[in-house]
Amino acid sequence: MDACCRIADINLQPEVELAKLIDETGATGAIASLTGITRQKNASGKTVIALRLDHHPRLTLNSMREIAQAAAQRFTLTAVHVVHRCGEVTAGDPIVFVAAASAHRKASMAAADYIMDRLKTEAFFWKCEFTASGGRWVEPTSDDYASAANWTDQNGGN
Amino acid sequence: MKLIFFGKLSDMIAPSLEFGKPAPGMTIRMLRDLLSERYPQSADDVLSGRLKTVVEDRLVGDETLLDGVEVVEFLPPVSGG
Repeated sequence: MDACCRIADINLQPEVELAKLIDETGATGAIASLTGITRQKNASGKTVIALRLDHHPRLTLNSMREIAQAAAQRFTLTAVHVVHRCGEVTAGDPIVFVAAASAHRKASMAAADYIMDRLKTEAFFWKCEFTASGGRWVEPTSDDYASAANWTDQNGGN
Repeated sequence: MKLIFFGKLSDMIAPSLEFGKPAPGMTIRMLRDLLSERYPQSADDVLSGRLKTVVEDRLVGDETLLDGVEVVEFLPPVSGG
């Protein structure tokens, strides 16, 4: 099973991505999807105007594929799609779409969670958040690292 | 040798810069120490254990020798999702 991963420089449309996956997978059993939306307020309560997402020209897509393929193997997925925005993303716009298809719902839901946890701490994206005060580089929180580490702890590896 | 910086390091140092030919026996660790001295505002990030260094699209460790290396990339902690 090939993981379908893509970096989108404009206009991520989660409804279109989900429809494509449903069409591709047929009577798979279950599809769980997660759409990340750029928040209007940051952790300090300031209004976010936009994010800028930088990425590595080669390693970013490789890191997304590695995470998606690990999920496919770990949760016995029949299909997995990961689309991540790059460039400028306005508050309120979708920033990431993850969908996992499997025979039963628990596997697909766990897979979507697993992929998101690892994207936040391992995929090669760098996020600069712009408010009225200027730009600020965002890094994973200790909770983000702990969530990703939980998957490693459960089975002794990602 | 060219150095390329991503994320916050691209703001703190530069998106890229020409370093010149590394001294014989120079390692990634020595380069990081040198950068932290030249760009003290970035020292915490350049010396952080979470910084990743890349040569020819492969993550490399601090003991990697820079002899013959043309490009080193510096990847601070990521923030996807």
